[in-house]
Amino acid sequence: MRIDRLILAAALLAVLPVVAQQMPAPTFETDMKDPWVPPATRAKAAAKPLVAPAAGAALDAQVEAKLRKRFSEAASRDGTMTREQARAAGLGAIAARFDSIDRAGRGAIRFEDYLSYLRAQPAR
Amino acid sequence: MEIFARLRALAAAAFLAAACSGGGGGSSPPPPTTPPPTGLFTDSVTYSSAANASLPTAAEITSVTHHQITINGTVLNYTATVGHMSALSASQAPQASFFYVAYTLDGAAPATRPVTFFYNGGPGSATVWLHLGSFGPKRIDTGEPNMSGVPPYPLVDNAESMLDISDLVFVDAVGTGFSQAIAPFTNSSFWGVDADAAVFRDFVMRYATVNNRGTSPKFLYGESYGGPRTAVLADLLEAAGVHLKGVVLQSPALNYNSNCGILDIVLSCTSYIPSYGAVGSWFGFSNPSASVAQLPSFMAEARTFVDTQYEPSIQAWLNSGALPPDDQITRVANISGLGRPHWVANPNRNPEYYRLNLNPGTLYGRYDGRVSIPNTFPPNQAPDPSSTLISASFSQRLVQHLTALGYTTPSSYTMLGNAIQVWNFHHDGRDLPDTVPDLASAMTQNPQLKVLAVNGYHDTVTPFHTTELDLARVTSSNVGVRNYVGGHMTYLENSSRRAMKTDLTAFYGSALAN
Repeated sequence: MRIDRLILAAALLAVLPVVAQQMPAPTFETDMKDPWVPPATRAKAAAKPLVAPAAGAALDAQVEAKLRKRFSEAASRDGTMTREQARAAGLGAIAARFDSIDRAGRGAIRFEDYLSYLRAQPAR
Repeated sequence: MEIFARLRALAAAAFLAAACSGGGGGSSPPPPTTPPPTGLFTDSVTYSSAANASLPTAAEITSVTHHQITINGTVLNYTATVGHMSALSASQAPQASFFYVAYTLDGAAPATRPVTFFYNGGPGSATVWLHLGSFGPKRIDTGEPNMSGVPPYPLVDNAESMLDISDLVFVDAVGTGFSQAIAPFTNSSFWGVDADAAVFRDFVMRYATVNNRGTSPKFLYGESYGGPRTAVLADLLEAAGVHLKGVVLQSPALNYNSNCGILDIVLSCTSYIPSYGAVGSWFGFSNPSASVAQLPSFMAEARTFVDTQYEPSIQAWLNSGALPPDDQITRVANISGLGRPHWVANPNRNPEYYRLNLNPGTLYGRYDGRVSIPNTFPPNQAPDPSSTLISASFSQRLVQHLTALGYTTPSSYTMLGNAIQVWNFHHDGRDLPDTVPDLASAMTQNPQLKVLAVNGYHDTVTPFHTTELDLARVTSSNVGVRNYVGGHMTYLENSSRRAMKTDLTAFYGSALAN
C-alpha cells in the first residue's frame, strides 16, 4: 500500500512546520490493517484443520485446563501448593483467599480444592 | 491553566534501585534521579520503536497539569498526568517503560473512584485513537463519515467524556507511542500475545501501587487487537489477585480463527454479511436499503438469514463446492447490494472483495464502510480512506495536546510500529489466538466481572456479528453486546458516541452495583 503511505507522508509534511519547534511529527511505520497477520503465519494457520470454537461444556473444560496448567506450574511436584508458593508465583488471588480454599486447613491445597472453591462461587 | 511538572517519586526511584541491587534478576542500573523540571517538561530520552530497542534505564517522570471540563452541566476539576511508568517483574525488575496519559478527577476517594485503562490494538498501534477520539476530556471532531471539514480536524472539549464516571488512563503498548523496553529486555520481548498481556498486567499493578489505587474499582477498555489483549490481560489480572469490575471490548478481534478477513482461504465469511448489508444500505445498493432508523431490524433479519440458512450452505460449499440454493444467492445479493454474478462466482465473498466491487470506480473504507473515495488506485494498492483521511489529524493533534499538557520530547511518537510484522500470535496451543477461553477464565475466577462489547454496524474489519457469535460461546448474563451506527471506531460518529456514553454509564453503574 505505497499510495497509502504517500498520502500520509504528504499530509504529515503539510502539518510539520506547525509542530516542528517542539516535537517531531509522529511516525507511521506501516499501514493500518488490523486485524492482520503476516502471510507466513496466515499460511501456517490455514494449513491446519479447523478447530470448532469451544462453547458450553467444551469451553468450561478449556477454562479448567487453563487454570489447572497455571496451578500446576506453581505447585510442588506432588501437586500441592502453599500460600507462599502461590504468592511467589504471582497467584495473588489464590494467596489472598487461601484459607477459604484450604477448607481442610492442611496449609497446602490441591487443584481440586481450588476448583471446588471456584465452583462454589455464584455462577458467572 | 496552572502548569507544573514534578518528579513522580524519588521514592519510586529508590525502590527500583533497591530492587535492582537485590539481585532479583534485574540487570539495569538504578534509575537516575532527575531534578524536578519546572514549567514545561522536556523528556530528553530518545525513544525507539525498533524491535531490538532497549532503554538502559528508565525514570518515572511525569508532567502534571490541572484543568476543568463541563459534563452534563457539571464543572469537573481534573488533573492530567503525562509521562512514563515502569512495569516491574515479579522480582521487581524493570521490564518496560510505559508512556501514559492519565486524567484523574480531583478530590475523589481512591477506594470508590473507578479507574479505566484504555489501549488500542494493531498489534503495534499507539493508543492515540481512543485517547483523542473517544472518551477523554478532548476529542478530535472528524465529522465522520463525510469529513467535509479541512484537516487537521479540530480538537474540542468532549461533552461525552467518561471522566464523570471514571478516571481514564490511556497507555501505549511497548514499541508504540513513547513506550519502550528496559534492558535486558528489548521491545520485541513483549511482541507476542502472552508477553504483551503480561507486561500490561505489570503496568496496571504498578500504576495501582504507585497511585494508591489498589482498592479502586478497575475497568479495561481495549479496541480491535486490544480486545484479545483485554481477554488475556483480564485472565492474568484475576489470577494475580487484581479484580476487575468490568471490561469494554471496542470492535474486538477476540478469535482470529473466526474472522475471514484474516483467514478467508478456509473460513466462512457469512458473519460479515450483515455488515455488508449496513454498508450497502448506506449507499442505497441493498434491496431494499434500510434507513438508519430501520437498521437494527434489517440487521436482525440479516443475522437470522445468515445463521440459519446461508452459513450451513457456505459450510457445504467449503466442503464440497456445492453452490447455495438460488434463492439464497438472490437474498445475499439483495442484502449486500453486491450483484448476483459476484456471489454465483464465489458465494463466500471476503470484505476486501466487497469494498472494491460494490460499485466499480468507488473505493469504500475498511474501518468505516460509510467513507468512500474515487478508486483511482492500482489493484492491491487500495488504501482505506476511513483511515487515511483522519490519520494526519490525529498525529498532529496528539503532539499539540501533549505539548499543552506540558510534555515534550525530541522523540517521534510512533503511531503505528512494525510489531505486527514479527508478532508472536501463538496462544494456548494455537497459531492464531482464540481468546474467548481467556475471557471465560477471567469470568470463572471473578463471577462478578461484567463484559460489554461495543461494535459498529459499518465496520468491515471486525464485524459486529462475528463478535456476537464469538461472545455467544460464553453463557453468562454478564456479557452484553451493543451495536451502533458507524465503523470500527464508533465513537467518531457523533450520534453513536452519545449513545455509547449513555450505555457505558449504565454499564459502569451495573458493574459497580455488584
